[in-house]
Amino acid sequence: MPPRQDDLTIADDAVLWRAVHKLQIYREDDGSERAQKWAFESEDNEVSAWIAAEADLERVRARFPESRIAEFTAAQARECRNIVSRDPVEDDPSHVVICPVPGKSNSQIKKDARRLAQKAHLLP
Amino acid sequence: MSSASVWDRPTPRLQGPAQSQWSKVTSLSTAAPWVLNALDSIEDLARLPHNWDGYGSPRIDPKAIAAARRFVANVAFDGLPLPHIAPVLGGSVGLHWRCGDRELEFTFHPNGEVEFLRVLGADLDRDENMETGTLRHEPDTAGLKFLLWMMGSR
Repeated sequence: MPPRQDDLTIADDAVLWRAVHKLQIYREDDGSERAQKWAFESEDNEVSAWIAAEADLERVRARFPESRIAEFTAAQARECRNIVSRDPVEDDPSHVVICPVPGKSNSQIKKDARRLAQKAHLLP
Repeated sequence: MSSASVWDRPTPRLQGPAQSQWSKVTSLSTAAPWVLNALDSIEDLARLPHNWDGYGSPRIDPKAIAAARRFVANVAFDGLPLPHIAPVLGGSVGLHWRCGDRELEFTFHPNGEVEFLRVLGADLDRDENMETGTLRHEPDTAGLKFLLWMMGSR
């Protein structure tokens, strides 16, 4: 498979959703919640997400009943040295994958996963 | 500021540690109060089914669970807070501690590898504020040193 390319048709301000298992959500001392770094990692370095404008929130929630939805923008994913690439799957054209830019070290991938977890906002 | 100076700040001495990094046997009767809760929470991860995260992750591996429980039992000391315990893709177990502006994450993999991430400060855009690596030898001892570093912010 050819390497993933950053899809510039996905605007920086495009909102993306990622389902985060409830056990991967951390509550800060002030009561605020954020996703853990582990929620933004993937063994194949392709982290699934959905373009909010093209997806149905209730459908995503129904597919991940044990999860909350974390929201972030394509720009935030890119600021963390990732590319955002469309990956339409059967009956779901809104699916994208977030991948590290080519050549990124494993250490940097983990740091950037932590950064993206910090930037993401958990929907109620 | 060099990255070395960031990570080499003084750490506190243990005050009445329930465990020692040299212990071979853990006495849970003298453990910090949160330890039993943590051990139970880690064990509970074994109940998660295949595909627990919806992304096809396998069940949490018993070897990862055992490693995480052993680690907690061996590093626990009074004053250390309860870690956040999380399932991790690939059948692994994650432990996360935060104390002030310092954070520590340990990931226990089924193959025995223990990865860490430590964070100093809220500005995550500074690369030098984060460090990752693997605890290759005596992870309990190395992990305890990191935990003492973290508690140094108090």
